[in-house]
Amino acid sequence: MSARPQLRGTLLALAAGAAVLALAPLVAETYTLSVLVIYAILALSLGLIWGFGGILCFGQAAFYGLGAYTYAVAAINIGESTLPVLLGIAVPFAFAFALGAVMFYGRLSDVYLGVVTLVVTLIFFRFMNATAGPAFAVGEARLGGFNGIPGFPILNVPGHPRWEIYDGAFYAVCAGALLLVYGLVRWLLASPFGRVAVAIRENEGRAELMGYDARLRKTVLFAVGGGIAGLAGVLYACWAEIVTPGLFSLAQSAEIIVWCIVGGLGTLAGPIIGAVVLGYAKFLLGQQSVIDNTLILGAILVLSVLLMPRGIAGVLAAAWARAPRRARRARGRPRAAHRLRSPDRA
Amino acid sequence: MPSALETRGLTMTFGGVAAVDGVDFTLGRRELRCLIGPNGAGKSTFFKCLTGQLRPTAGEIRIGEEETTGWDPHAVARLGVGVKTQVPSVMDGLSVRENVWLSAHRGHGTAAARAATDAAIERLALGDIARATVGRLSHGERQRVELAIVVAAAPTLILLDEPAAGLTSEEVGRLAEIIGALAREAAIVIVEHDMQFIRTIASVVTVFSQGRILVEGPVEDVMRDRRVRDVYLGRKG
Repeated sequence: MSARPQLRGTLLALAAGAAVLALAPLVAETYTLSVLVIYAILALSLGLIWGFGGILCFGQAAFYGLGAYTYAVAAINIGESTLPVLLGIAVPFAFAFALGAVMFYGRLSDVYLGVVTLVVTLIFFRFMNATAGPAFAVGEARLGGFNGIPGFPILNVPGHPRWEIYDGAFYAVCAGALLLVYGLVRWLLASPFGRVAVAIRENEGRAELMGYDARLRKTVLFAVGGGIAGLAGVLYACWAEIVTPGLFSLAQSAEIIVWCIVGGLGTLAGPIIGAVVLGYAKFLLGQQSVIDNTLILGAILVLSVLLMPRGIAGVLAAAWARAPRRARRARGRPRAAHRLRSPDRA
Repeated sequence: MPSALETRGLTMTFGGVAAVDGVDFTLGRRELRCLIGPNGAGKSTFFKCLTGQLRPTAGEIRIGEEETTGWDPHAVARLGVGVKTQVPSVMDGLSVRENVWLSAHRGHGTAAARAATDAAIERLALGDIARATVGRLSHGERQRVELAIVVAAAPTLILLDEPAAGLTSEEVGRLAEIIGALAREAAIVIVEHDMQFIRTIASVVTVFSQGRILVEGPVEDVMRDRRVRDVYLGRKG
């Protein structure tokens, strides 16, 4: 595949995404939309490492929570939000790099990898819950145990601490972040690094016989996923204006996995769609108390696995491929749905 | 000038069993060598030690000027070692072209990868199925894809584990031609059972038996050797 259709496909997808994000405030409040977009970024982080790298991480919430906590602590100590945002991405990236290096250089198999990442999340959860009292403070910021950290400075226009970004402007920032991350991930996957990452997912032994160091490459990919999850955590912290140990909870990690499965693994659009659809469903279900929320989400997961093994994105792509040729031509290039998912196929 | 490949006392034991037992093996530059021997003679284990997939218990391996004992597979591959495994090891979910490109990219870098990919696809006559997903291809086609992966990296030492297995006689004929051409560019070691095929590519044969080298020599001499017949037919000498 040549670079040009790749680029064109990416630009098309970005334009379509931007249009959807711009029109969305007509149907829902930006406050709700912001958190859905944040979930989408979080889902994308797992969609990248699991769908394309074949790394099933049960603890993506660890990097999400770490990003949020890092931002909160740094914002209290620094005030202006630019550096805290960067730290909120860099710290989870570095932590994921270190954790990934231990796991991949230790040649842990998939199952143990899942267990280790799960346990790391639990450790964070337990530790943050136990940080009540003045002894647990980083500079000015108290970690606050079960109650978390409230009242830290939220996002501001870089260089102007008083120009805080909230409501509509904050939604615009989140939407921009999602588009940026999506574009970067597409670019990464189209680059030699991304193509080799998919090759390692497909057949690690062969990739090594070709001369690629699978351990290093998986570690880097895992760290990139950690950094993206950290960004989602930063934005969540600014949205909620409080960070609590609940960010590290098992339920949070499980939810990210469910988004990816329901949305469609091995695609980038899938996890985004899954996060937004299920996130919004959870929001609506939260407004009633007749049936338990998790029960319904569980049922949705089971049904979607049975009825749509390739997720929502898979169903959409199949519908697109079945659409009459003329309709497709009218909308642009033929077989664009396939290209959207390349170089991957599954 | 150093040899392409040399092992000294190479030994690989599993539990108490020595699958490869003190093998001294030397392969010249641009030499084509066939390894034969009954099942369980240690040929594939020997191969896996050479490629770094197994870490030998004792002995040493030299590839070109480097001592590679205990190296990881990717490091061995970077010396210019191309490997075709016994069961085709390919990326089933990707296209033929992508499979070959991945190898060419490692061997030649991004700029020259496309030309090397085209050349390897042409050489293995994969042009018609270059866009097909490898998982959907026949066994023979997958064997060819794996050979294209090996060729695309322009290796100086090629290790082929049963390349003719499961191929039609027509395909075997083509394979012999390709190997003949490759032998002008690189040193090659082939593990094979198909004696007809070995006669076609006519080379020096090393016979493995119970983890050791039993006999080494030109193919016709080896075929006449009584000990070789005995190990193949399971007689005790």
